[in-house]
Amino acid sequence: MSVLDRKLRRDLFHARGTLLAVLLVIVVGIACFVGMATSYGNLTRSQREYYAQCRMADFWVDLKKAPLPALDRVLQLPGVAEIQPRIVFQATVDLQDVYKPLSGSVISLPDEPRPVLNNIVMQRGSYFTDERLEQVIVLDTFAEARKIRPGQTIHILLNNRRQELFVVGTALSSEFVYQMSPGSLAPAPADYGVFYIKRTFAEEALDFDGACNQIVGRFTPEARGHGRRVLDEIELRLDEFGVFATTELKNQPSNRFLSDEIHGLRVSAAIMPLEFLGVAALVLNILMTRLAEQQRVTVGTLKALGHRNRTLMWHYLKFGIVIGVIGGAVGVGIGHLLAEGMTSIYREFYKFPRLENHAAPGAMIAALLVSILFSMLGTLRGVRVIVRLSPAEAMRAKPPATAGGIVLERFRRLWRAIGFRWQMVMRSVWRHKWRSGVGMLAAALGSAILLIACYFMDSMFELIDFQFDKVLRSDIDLTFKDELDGGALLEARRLPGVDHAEPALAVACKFTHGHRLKRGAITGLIDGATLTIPRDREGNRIPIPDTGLAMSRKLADLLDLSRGDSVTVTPVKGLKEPFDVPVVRITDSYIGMSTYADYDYLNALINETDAISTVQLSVRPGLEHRLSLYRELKELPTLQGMTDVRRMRADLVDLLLKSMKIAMGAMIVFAGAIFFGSILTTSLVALSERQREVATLLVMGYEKRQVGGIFLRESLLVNMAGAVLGLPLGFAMIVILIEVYNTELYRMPLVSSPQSYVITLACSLLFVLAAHLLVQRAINRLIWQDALNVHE
Amino acid sequence: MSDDGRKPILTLRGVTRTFVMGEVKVEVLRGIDLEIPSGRLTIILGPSGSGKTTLLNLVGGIDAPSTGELAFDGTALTDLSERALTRYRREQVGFVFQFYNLVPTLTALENVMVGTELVEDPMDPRKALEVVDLADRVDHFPAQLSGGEQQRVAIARALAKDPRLLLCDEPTGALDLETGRLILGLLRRVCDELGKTVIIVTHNSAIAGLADRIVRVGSGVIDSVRENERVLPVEEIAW
Repeated sequence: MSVLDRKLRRDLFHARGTLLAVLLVIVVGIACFVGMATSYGNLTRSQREYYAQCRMADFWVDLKKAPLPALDRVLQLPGVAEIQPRIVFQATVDLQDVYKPLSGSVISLPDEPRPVLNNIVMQRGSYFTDERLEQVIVLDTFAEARKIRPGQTIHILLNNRRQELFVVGTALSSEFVYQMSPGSLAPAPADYGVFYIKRTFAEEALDFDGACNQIVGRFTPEARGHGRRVLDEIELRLDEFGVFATTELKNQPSNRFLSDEIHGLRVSAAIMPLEFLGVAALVLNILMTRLAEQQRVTVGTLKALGHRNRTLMWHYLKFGIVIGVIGGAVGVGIGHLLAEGMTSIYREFYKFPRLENHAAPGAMIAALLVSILFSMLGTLRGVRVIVRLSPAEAMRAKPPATAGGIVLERFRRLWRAIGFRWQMVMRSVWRHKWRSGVGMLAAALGSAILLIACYFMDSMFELIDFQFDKVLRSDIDLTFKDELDGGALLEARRLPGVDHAEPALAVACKFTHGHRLKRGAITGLIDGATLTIPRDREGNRIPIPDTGLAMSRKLADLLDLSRGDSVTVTPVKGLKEPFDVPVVRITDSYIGMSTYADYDYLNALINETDAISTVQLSVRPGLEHRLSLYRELKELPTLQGMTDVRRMRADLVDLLLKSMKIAMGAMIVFAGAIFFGSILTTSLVALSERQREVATLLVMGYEKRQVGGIFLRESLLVNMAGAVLGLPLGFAMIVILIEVYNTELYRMPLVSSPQSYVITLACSLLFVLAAHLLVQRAINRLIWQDALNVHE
Repeated sequence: MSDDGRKPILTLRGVTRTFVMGEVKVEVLRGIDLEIPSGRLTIILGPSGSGKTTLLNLVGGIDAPSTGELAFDGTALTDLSERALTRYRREQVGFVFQFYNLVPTLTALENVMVGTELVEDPMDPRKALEVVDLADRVDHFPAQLSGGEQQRVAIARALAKDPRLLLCDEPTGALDLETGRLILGLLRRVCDELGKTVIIVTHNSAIAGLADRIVRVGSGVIDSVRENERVLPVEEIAW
């Protein structure tokens, strides 16, 4: 080891306190990057392998009923590589130990195991056997949550008949990685099941002999880019069989949630660590500039001895490299552990047969290089100072800093009023503009992160409040197999425990405006409906117009519609005749893209009277009412599904609280790292610069606490100013985030609660005070008698 | 040729050095003509602010004259590139400073090695420390050494590179009389026994008696240059 390297090693050791602060920021940034990049790798790998294993379909076509021979015309289409017919029904399940009826999908599978599209991966038990027809394979997540084991029997309401099914096994499928009930955002493994039955049994039980109501398929590789066009073609060819919906893989709910998460991870992995590394580079910059100044004489001497500029530059650049390597290596290690944690959280939400944490060597090497790069960038300014110094100049004492008043001193009264301690602080802040600026920027980023964390919390609760308390106010929604007439409503009203019932009619349709086309549904609500109330962003009730539509803002935007425009609506069921209707009102919603119309008006549009697809119930409080209602519902043959809206709300709140706890914890750690890293470095550098000043104050009789107070004032001034500046910065970032998360599935409300601002500033203040404890400790430990003789 | 018949190792002709400090121009050296004989001990004497340290920095190649010519052994330093000047400092010059300028994070031995690493055939760093009588302090850090000891390390560091020129800026300035004498004796020996050209810059006229040649500077000009007829033994020097 060369002598200069030994010097480097010892210099690093002497500056360890400050370096640790910088390292903290680097480590968090790198860990964040490695954690997210590795989790990204884990999820994409599992998704790829799982989709390949299950032969995940590229598209789904839902139709009323099509004879199997008719499917040949789809297979002949260019762009279609493979198709498979399925029989798929929504059904209610009656489990013995569960009071309420549960909802689920029944899907047919070949009687013998074959490598079909959207195949299953057996978890327990076996595939169907020849023993009997009424066998069922239950989705493992549901089986797990409801403790259903192979060998048991369950009851499912199929085609108005209560069928007893024998459970032969449990399985997972790539179609249901993120398993939630329709209309919800939270996974509900216990409330919504998937039941695979033999195709021959499905044909018999559902009257689908030689027919199907869903086609899953794959595009040829060339057609993948324009799947929509192929699907439109398929829809045209199968028109006579009543196509309800054609769905590409990218819009399949489970895949959509998973892919959105993966995409979000990729974006965050690219952006978030940069903030930390940027702050680390700036803070390191301050540290290295100080080090360069401290070592002026040494640099001069080394130059006088004949050391080349290049050698010295390299020597000081090595500081950055060593810090980068240490920060990078520790960050990579912690990042890998972080990925382990993140992956195990993902395991709870996304059900794969295998989701393991694999080290991502590429990400690790990239992280290390980025860490070194940023650390070197951070040292550059200090290195430049060193190179520029001529040896003779370096060995002369540094000329005193430019003195002179600061702007504030012009306001004499005010200046005098603030007292000498604040005067010292203000001058110091003003004279070290670069350092103060970096401190402020770091604090601004820290407080912006805190604000975003608070915002997410507020926003999600606002979303739940708006969606489940203001718009959707029912306790239970019942959906029926086919549109029923008003009799169903009367029946529902007579159910025990029901306080109030309202009918709704959902009509699946296509909306067309110019060349824009969107698929969705119109919900018909009765005049004065109280269980679904469309609202605007401010929460004001929007009355349903007698004619025309009240359309959600998102859908109107996608179709480029404004209030007063006309839109062409084509129902996907029934006569399928297009009709033009005006958009009379614009509503706001954060989940889905609901569009409302008057109940009678919608009925008239589809040539029906009193058709009902959903009955919304408000239930009397009390367990006994609920239980007797559930008992009756289990016996209702036409019931296709029951949504426990309140339960859904509670599940969402649970999910939120759980994930928020983790997210908030992480955000606070991140913000804390930035605050600590920046405050410790800037304060310790300031302390080392002002050792003589500190020593002089102590000689004069100041207490260490009082001297610390001066540093605290400076830290408060810089960091709290930064924290306040971080509020608009955070708000701007929130607006960008809202834009990023503005999807057809869900949107984030823009909530700006004063409470969030207060919490952000309070947390920032806490960080400043906590970091100051360490600075005060450094002041207490300062051997000030020596500092008096400091020769610089 | 210089007055005593020795070939000058350093020649300065019309050397000036002006510093610009903000809007003020300070002329520190104003036309210096001087020759420094090889293998002799020259003391440059002058009050504070007279420009003597600047003069030393110029001949040491760590600063450049504003105008004039400066040659070392017939080579014009003023014509040298930055790189060549570094080479000159590396191979020909050893510096000793008033405040020693040791690297605080390196031991005595390592501080000497900081110099020896740079040259091809240096003196053994331990040997250099033996010469300055610090063989038993090799592993001590500057903070663990007295002022005199630190200065001796600095001299060892300068000597170990085996330079032809040893430039000392107020080498006793921070030392008491006893330690100062020790250092001066050491420098005299370096000149006499090792044949090095030693230049000491000082404001302390009491040590002038040690020199072979005494140069007096005042306000940026040479006041006088005189050969010392009777070189005093170090024990007779007092201040």
